[in-house]
Amino acid sequence: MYNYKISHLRELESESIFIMREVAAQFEKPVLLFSGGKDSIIMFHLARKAFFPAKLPFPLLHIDTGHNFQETLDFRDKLVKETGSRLEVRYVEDSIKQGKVAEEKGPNASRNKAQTVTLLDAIEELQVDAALGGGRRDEEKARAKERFFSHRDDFGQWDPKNQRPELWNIFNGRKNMGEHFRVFPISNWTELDVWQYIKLENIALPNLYFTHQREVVNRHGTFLAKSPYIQLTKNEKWEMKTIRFRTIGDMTCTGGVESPADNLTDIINEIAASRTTERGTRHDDKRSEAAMEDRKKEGYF
Amino acid sequence: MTDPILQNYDKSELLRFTTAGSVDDGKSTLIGRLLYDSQAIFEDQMEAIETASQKTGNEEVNLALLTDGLRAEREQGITIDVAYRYFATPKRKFIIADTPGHVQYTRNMVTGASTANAAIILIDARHGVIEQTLRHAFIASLLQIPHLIVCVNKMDLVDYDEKVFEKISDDFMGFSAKLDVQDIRFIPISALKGDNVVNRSQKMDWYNGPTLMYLLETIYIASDNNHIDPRFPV
Repeated sequence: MYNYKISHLRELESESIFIMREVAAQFEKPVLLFSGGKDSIIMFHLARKAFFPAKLPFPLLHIDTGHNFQETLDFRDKLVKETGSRLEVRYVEDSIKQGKVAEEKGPNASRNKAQTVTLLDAIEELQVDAALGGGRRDEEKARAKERFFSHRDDFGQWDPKNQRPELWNIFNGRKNMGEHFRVFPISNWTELDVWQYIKLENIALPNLYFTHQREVVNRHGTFLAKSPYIQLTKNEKWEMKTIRFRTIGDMTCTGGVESPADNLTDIINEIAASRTTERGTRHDDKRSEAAMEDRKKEGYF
Repeated sequence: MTDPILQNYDKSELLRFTTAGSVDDGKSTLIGRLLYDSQAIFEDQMEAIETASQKTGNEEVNLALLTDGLRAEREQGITIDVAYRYFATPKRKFIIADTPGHVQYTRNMVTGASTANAAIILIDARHGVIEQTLRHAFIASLLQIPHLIVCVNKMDLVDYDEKVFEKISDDFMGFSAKLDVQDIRFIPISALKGDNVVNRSQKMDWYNGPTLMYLLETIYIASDNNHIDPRFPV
């Protein structure tokens, strides 16, 4: 008999891989939601591990707000090409043109909310019955409440007061026509786990995560990158800063932090010492106390 | 300087535990206290619950708001569904499932408890062992959670009286003959004031046992799961 002991990172990894295989077994048309952020990249890595040497049994789905960092898009295309994966892209711009959703106005306008409409349309169009997402419970208090297999009704809505029981590793994917599931295999990971795992597995990331020079504007304590989608208000001005991003989303709501960290070890030390959560740099969550819960109820991922 | 948590990060074990007990026995407060005293609450989270506490008219910061993340839970001041929280010490990494105490939400409690290595059962020192305590202890046993930690909470409201603690421990022991749990421990605590949670209490000299955090860090879990014998799913 030998001593078999696994570290917590490997335990989290096997939990996530188990859930990905469970999704492939239980559902007919799953997709992997892919934004190009580090959580998506980890999800993609885990999915490849789960089915290797076969190719992924599901395509990636990217909801493109049109406000992405070019670096993220380049990284996404390279990754897809190298691994021979399938990629579906749906554009928020199209939903706006079709008149399904109105664009927000003002200096803080964001397409974050609008992408829910595009996502729900894509799910209907592609007849998706399970959408794998890289949401983590440590990100936000409403996410902390969600099951691994999260049921969505006909209108894509989440009912937080009536979630299904989910015992041990038994996942219930039963649903009626038109309903679907959001599945979160990395629910139990923390930001630190993600970074440790990236280091452990030597996973490539877009260079936005590492320190670089960039023109930014300081808005409510976070640095928003210069882009055509951000209008300055009266007292604001562009300035050059040495920053990196802790999360990557839309250019309109993802703030950078000042940091000299140019490698994974430095980033990990920085995060361990950090006294704010990564979503502290996200403007979309600061709108109200229950901002995330409200968006999730409407069908946000 | 490297953070002590980081040094052992690739070797540290994972402990999943759950809190159980009746409504208002202080489950969410205890978790808030554990996170707060082990410095796992971030500034922006603290800021958010301070604002929220003031809005509802609390004098002290209500740590329960950390885990009660749903709108309905905040409005009613109760926990409806299980919430998961994460923290790490240099010895271990923890996943906490904060479960609801109300009878009608027991199914959500079961969801949270099913994956736990250890269950903390909270008992209000003023009320002693009540029906819901027994129900949760029994469910924990039914789910085959191998370790039970019974915390007699709100000791500050009974003047840190040893007799109260002894009486509740005896009552629970009497019932536990019906349970299929080998490992049961008792700790007198005050989640609100922080006695015996992470730091040893100054007010209960009569208690010589470990603090809750020490127990969580040292409970032996490696033999709980059989990773050695191969299994073939059919």
